[in-house]
Amino acid sequence: MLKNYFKIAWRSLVKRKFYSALNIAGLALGVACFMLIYLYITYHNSFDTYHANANKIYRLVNVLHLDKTEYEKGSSIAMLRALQKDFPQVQKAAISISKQSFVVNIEGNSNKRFKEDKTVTFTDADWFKTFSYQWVIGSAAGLDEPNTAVLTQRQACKYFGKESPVGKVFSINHQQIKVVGLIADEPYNTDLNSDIYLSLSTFKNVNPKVENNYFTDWGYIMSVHNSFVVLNSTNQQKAVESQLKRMISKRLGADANKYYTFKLLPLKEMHFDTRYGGTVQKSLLYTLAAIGTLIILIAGINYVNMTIAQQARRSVEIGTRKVLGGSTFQLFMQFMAESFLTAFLAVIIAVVLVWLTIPQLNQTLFTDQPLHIVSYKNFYLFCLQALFLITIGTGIYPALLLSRMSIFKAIKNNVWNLSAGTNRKILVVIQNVVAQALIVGTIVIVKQVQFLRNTDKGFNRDFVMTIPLGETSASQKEQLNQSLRNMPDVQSFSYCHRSPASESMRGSTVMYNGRWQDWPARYAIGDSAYCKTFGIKVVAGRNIRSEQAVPEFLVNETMAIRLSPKNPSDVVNKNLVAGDGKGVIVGIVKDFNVRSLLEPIEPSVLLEDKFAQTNLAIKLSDKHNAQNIDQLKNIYQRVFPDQVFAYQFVDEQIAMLYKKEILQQKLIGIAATVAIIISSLGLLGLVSLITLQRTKEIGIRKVLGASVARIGVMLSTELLQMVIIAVLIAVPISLWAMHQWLQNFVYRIHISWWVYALAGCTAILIALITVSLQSVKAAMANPVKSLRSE
Amino acid sequence: MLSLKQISKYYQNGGSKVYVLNRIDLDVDKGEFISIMGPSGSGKSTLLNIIGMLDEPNEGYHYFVGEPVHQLKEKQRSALYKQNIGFVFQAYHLIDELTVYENIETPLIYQNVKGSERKALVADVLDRFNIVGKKDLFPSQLSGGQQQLVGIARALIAKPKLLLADEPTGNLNSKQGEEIMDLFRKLNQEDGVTIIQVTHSEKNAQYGSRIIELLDGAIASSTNV
Repeated sequence: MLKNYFKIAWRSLVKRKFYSALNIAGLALGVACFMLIYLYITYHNSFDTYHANANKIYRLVNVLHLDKTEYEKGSSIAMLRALQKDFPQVQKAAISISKQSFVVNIEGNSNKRFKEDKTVTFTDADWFKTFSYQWVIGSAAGLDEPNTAVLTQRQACKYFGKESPVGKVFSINHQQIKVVGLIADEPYNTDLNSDIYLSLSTFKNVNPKVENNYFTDWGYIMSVHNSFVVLNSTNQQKAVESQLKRMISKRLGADANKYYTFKLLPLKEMHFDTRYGGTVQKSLLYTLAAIGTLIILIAGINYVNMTIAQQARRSVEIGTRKVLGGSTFQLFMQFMAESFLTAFLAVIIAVVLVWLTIPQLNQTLFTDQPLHIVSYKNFYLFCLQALFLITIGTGIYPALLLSRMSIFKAIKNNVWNLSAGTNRKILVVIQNVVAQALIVGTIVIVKQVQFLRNTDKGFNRDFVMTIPLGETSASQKEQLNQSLRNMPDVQSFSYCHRSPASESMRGSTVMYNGRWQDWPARYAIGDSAYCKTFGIKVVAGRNIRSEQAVPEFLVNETMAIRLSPKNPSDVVNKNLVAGDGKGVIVGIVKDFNVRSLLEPIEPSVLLEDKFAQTNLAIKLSDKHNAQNIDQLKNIYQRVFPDQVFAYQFVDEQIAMLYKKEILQQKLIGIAATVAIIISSLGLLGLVSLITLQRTKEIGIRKVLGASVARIGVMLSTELLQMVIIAVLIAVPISLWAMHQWLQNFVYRIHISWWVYALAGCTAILIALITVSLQSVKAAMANPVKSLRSE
Repeated sequence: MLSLKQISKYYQNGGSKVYVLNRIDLDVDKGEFISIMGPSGSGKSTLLNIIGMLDEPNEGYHYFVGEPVHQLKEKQRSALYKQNIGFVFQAYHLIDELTVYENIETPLIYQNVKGSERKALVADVLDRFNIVGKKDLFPSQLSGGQQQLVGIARALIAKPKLLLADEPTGNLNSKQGEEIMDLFRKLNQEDGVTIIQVTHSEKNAQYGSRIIELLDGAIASSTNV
């Protein structure tokens, strides 16, 4: 019996090739989307869950309550040591200083040099006891000695080729460092990745400027410090937090608790908490899950609609089968077998699609965190579940409807007119509402992201590039200055910390006119050419002069108003303590964004800090001149023969600030495209069925003298009506949703009416094209043929 | 074998009832071959459908092989129908995506007959109807007469006691029609199958043992041939 169901189901699919193909293609596309979203979500949910103690590991983070609340993932090393020593609840503790950049020199004949950008971590043996690593050679114990290193296999291969790295030596900042261990490459699903681990005691050796109290002062709270504790059990979190509070007031003074709240963030939340450096918002995952469900919904609706619509052609078959003795249940199973087969083929095609698209997506979309299939077993189980859910979801309604049809009506081919199917109309409308809401969403997000990427508040990024320098002696600087001044295309250059609109978090509270302010100011760090290079306008007073005995400051308008609300220009020539210097405000600059546009413009000080000015920003007259880059490279190599030249245009740097938003934009754009394709497939199927049902009517109308155009319009009107109703429903829904979304942004676009007009017109146009092709074909058919066949 | 008492079928049209069948009384004995005749709209097909339990009357009593059909539940009626009645249509109504063999086999599948038994039964029928060579063809590859032959074979496969035929030769030319009618006569006389056919053709009606004339939903005459 079962075999028979499937045999017939297969024949029936093959016979109606066109509709089966539409059905399967639509479903497969939907299912593929759903699977990719599933994989994306499971991938991100798997981050750092593989560590043996994962449930009991917590990260020490802090909340800084100033005028505006700030969140930081850092702590001080001394604080962690105290946790380790004095807290009975703490089983283990680990600290690392991560994201350090160095130039690594490999000793020996080859004398190879590598620039390691933010991949170097300093830590000790405790780190490897807290987290799970696979040791290939050696053990963590070696990292308790100064000037030792542990490498991942990937890194070891890069440095030393196939030879065993253990015992080999390389140097950083003229310090000899010995490799004492080799670990397997880290799994893809960790946020704690690093390729080079140096022992913590090496830190001071390679960074001579580090102050002596770095390791002992409770106040040395830095965001590059990764502090983790393993608690004895999961319910001790609160107790440790309050005990730490008491300890802090003892060590940092009673006031410290007014500003700082230290918290234990569970390891499993770390990946999602963007306040503390998490890379993916949970909300994005929820949005994607919702979109995936909606896409499956439209694909399912397609199937239901088409299956029921085909009833027109199959009613005789259904009737005959009943006359031949088929029971309602047997017919029901027959239709379910067809649904199952369709879903099965769709799922198979979807798996192939997923398999083909993952590498593409990883190259274009997920460059930072390439998507991996966490567990193949779970994925196949998921596919199986999807198969059954889709079979049941799409199969039951048409199967019930069709199998219960009265024999008498069926055999007489008493076709329901499609216009009577209110339920199906509702389904088509729902489908289009989803597709159009996604179109509106995409347009709004694209516009907002463009706005974020391309708007400079108070500065000009055009043709400005930055070159990281590292430590530069006075003579090297002079050499550079000379060469740059001789380049005609260099309009100006500045030694600075970062360009405006960067992820720099530098800043602190300031003392103005002898009084400490209770709010922090952001720092933009650069020399006297900073304003010129980035096109920042001085609106009162004058620009700073470099290397003055009394440091000079520029403040932005917001800060001037903050300092002197009644008469902001009064701040010029007043004393200010900011950074490490006591100096004087010499001028006011127009407000510019120091950080991304996701933040409001904050009170900011432009100041000099020689140690922080590790980048060279150059304003060129023409970005696209490759010769300039070559020339700059030559100059750089001449001045710094043992460094590696690198550069980046400010444009690209700014784009990096909106990575999350850009990813969001692309994901939702893809979802919208898929939704439109699927609903178009649905419309195409429906309109061709409608025309089929109305063949006789069309024939009669043509005999009576109706024109092709008229019949085309007649056939298209009904479906277009549904699309238009969908526009009317989708617009207010998406208007509301996008308005909510935009509230997340300090600087946002205004949604103009044309966004909706565009989305509506696009939807109607796509529907029109889909529908008219079929209806014109039907309208042009010879009426003699269609009438005879009845 | 079959008895209809005061069977009526009507449609509500505005306030008034339009009768398709009006108080029909009909008794059919085992082994009869009845032809129902009458002008278009006289209720022939409706009567046949009611006899075949495809349609239900609004009023009246319907007995079939001793069972009161009007009192049976859907399931029981369906079981009764499956075991006893075969249907032949004017438009054949073969299932397009099934081969000749599979079309004939389908009623057996629905009755949960075992595979080996099915094979034997279908082979037997194919042989009897001389269509063994056509068993793997699809309906669209057959002529009208051949299709109707398959239709009849399919109707007979489950060995029904009653064969109902709604203008079985309506779509065939006269030679094909004659062959089908010869077959009917043979089935009736040699195999003892009771047959009720609806027909427009005076000539085809003569094949039966009794002719019933319908007019405006009532029996106008009943003549033995």
